[in-house]
Amino acid sequence: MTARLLAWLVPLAACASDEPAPITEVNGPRVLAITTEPSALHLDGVFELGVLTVDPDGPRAELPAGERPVEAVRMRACAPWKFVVDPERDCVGGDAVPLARNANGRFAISAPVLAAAFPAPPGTPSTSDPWRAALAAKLAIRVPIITEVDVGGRTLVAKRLVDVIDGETVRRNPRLVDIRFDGAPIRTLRAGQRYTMTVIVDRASLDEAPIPSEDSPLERVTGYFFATAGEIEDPEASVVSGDAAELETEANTYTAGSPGRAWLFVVANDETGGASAISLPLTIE
Amino acid sequence: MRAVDALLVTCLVAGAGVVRAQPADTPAPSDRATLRGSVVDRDTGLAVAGAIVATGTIEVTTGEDGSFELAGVPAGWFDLVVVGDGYEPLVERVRLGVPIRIRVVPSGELGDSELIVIEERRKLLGQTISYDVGRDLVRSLPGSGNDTLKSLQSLPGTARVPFGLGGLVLRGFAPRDTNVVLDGIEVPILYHFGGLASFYPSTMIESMELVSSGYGPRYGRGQGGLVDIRSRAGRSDRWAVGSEVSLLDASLRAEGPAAGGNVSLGLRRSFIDAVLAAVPTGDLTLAPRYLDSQLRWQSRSGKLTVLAFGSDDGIGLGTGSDRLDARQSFVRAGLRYEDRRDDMELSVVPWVGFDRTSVVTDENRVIRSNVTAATRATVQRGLEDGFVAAGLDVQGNRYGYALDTDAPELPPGQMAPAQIAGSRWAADLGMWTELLHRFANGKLAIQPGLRGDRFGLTREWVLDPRITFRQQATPSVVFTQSIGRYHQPVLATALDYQLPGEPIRASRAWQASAGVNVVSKMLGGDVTVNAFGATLRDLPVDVISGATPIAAPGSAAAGGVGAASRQLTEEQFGSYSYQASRGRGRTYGLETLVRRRVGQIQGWLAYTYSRSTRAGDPWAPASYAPYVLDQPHVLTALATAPIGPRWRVGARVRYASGNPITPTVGSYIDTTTQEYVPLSGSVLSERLPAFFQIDVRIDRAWQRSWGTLKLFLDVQNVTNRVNPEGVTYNFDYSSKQYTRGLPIFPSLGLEYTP
Repeated sequence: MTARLLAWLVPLAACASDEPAPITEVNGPRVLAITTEPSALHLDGVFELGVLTVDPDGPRAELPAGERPVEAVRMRACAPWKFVVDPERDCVGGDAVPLARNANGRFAISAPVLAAAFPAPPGTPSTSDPWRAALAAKLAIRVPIITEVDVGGRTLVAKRLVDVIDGETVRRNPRLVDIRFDGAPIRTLRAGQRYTMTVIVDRASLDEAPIPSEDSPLERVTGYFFATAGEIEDPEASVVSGDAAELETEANTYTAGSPGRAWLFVVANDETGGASAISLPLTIE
Repeated sequence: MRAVDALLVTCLVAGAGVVRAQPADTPAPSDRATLRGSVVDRDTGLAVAGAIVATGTIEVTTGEDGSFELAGVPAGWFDLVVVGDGYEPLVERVRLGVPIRIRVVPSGELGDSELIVIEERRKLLGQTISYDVGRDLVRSLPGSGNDTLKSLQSLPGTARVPFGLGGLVLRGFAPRDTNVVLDGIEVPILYHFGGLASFYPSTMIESMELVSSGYGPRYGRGQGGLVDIRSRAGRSDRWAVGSEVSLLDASLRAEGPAAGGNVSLGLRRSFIDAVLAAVPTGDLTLAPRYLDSQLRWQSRSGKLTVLAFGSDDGIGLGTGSDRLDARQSFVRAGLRYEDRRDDMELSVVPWVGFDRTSVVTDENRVIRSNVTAATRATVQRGLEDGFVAAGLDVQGNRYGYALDTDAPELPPGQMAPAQIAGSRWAADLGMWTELLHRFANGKLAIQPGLRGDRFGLTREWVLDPRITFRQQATPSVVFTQSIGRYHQPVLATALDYQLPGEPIRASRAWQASAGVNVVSKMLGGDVTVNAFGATLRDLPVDVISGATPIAAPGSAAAGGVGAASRQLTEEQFGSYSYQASRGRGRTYGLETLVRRRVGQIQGWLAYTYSRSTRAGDPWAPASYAPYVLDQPHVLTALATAPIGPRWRVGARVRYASGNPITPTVGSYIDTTTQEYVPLSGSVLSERLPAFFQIDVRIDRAWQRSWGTLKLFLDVQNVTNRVNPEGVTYNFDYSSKQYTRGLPIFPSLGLEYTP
């Protein structure tokens, strides 16, 4: 609470003169998302991971065979029993398990491997299956995944928390269907013009809300917006719940930049650990 | 002039006798002895030669070195009259057995000049060297905005607080380590929210002392310094009403005879909220306000004083649909009974208090309250070569809390409570004893003391020995040394969230200091040099601070505005972290004060070299790192001078090392929250650029038969220099900007004194 109070006071006192570039502006290499399939790790299951890296010219391929590939990608899973704030401090040595690529060229890891590496929080009674015991006791297990991407001579670092769930729980990634400008699926925009921008999400891909209510039985989804050119009014927008098969995010505003090609990226995170990303090329006339 | 002085002495002695002397108190001739002492200029410390010192029919004149010997004075307490050429006449009640040093006030200063500090009283606290502050001088000092208590920040050993937010950082101790007492009643907050003004109006203060460290056993529950404020009695002859209006606030006070004594009343209300409401600021609304009130009654004999005072601060912030309201209030009411019979002194101060703090946002609601009932009792017996004293210091508290907010994060796999509410009862008991013994004709003194405390919140018993030595090498050179232990109970807010296996207990400090005070005619004033050092143990530290990046704004170890503000508000708002008594600290340094009076120009130069470090944060390296308000060099120079009979001008120059900050060495993105997380460099290993500021002040007084009207213009940061107070970053911490400190800040006011 004190930090929150201070967070209000500090900007008031700052009197900053130069406006820094907004988080929505992609003006260099950035990692926007770590995606997984499925969205959570089942106790007996395996899952695959991918990373969305972008720069002002668009998305960068994760694999060498793809278009404009990054130089290298490394991933490791961290012990779920401690905070990972500084990856070089908190996710190294015995607190880290490097991830390897599977036959599909994707990074993959299984829950039993992680459970063997990080059996139980320090000080808890040991059981034959501590992860299952922890989930049965309603304790959350979230595995931090650290991703390092070498691109353009730099190493970008990203972190994502992945939920561990038992076999009966259903978790899905939110599926992004479309991005619409002024309600239409257009991809050619006029320079300098303001557009109302919405993202369409497949309702069937949403899980039950952690605390369901009559008004919103489904989980909340938040879309985060990024562009290589033009201006985005709000960096994020939530999906408005409803009964339709396709749900829209709250209206955001995009003002197209100068003529040429631009990229729009949207990352959607849901309330139960799912994440999806979409890259959209735009032509600005 | 001599004739006038003699007449004045006669009148004063006679008057004092009428008011205070009673035939039954007149001692027998066998009880009479010799009083030794000296008279010095209050502002410069220089000896005042040729001053008349008298009591009853006995009268002497001070020598070239200001010393005097008054033979045949009665034992115990009696009234002493001092009249010096060019000084305000003085009547003061003193006691035989202790050589005294009397400070007289130069005449011709603006306003009334009542403040006299007799060194004997200072030694009652047992500190090595304290800084007494003349009320009239500091009220005309630039940069203090006509606020006496704000001038404390210009004294040596005091670090600068960002934005003038208030709070005292003494000799490297945290603000919460320093206690403030008004007439023996503990004061929870010295300055109003934002540090714009202090809680008690200057016109109602008799005297105040800043003891940076090393005070005696009479006070406890604090490991840092002490601010001892004495309130002023109201007028006894007639009723008078005064007021003050400035750009920040308006106040009204009244004083006069009432109910067998004198009473004084005060009320002050800021109107910054109204001013800001009239300024269009778009979506942002900012409405700070403060209110304080005072009531004081003192019996005609001066033995009984009833005191009540309170403060209410609030700030409302709004940005569009978001809203935050913070409020902190306190009320204190108590009475002080003091009696002196022969060599015995008795003082009893029972008081009650109520504190309330609340922070309400759209999503969170935090309310804290504290009801206190306390009593301080002191009995002291004068001895031929000193005194012996003992006292009781009891306090009962009921802490209430209702926290509907995010709990501090626990390590993964552990559930944190979402909402907690309840109350705690705690009774603190303190007992102390102290002895002063002088020998070698009063030139040497030793003052040992012992204090024992029980802290109710943590059910601890602690024992603190303290001792002071003093050597009067020559009439103008005094050496002092002290060493002692000081315990400080845990904050009630530290118990909100506790980790099993991480006990929290009172922290403690061993303090040592050695100093010398030299009065020099060659310098035209006095010089005080004091070396100090302290070790701190069992300091509370955040044990799961790993949940927050060290360099993130608002983190306890990030430095800058956020960390400093946390130091200032932790006692009222809480830290919202899991704390354990694992911290250690060290402070040491050297402070110097040179006071001079050259003609009508007076002022001081204060320089402090100080280092303060901390260790014990489980997420930081084991070695010591600077304290977030560690400022190795602090220099304050100020001077004020009258121009003619009505004008006075002054200036203050301040330089201070920049506060330490933890640099960021990179960042990564947390894709779950889509926020960047800073990677921290060495903890508090860099510093903000140094602080430099010039303040000026101009006063104009009109003295009329109906009172004195004073117009003042106090301009802080007159050059509008940009002083960095903190760092802000862009979204991925790849670039930073300094948070700008206070810009040019004028304060225009009008004061009426009847």
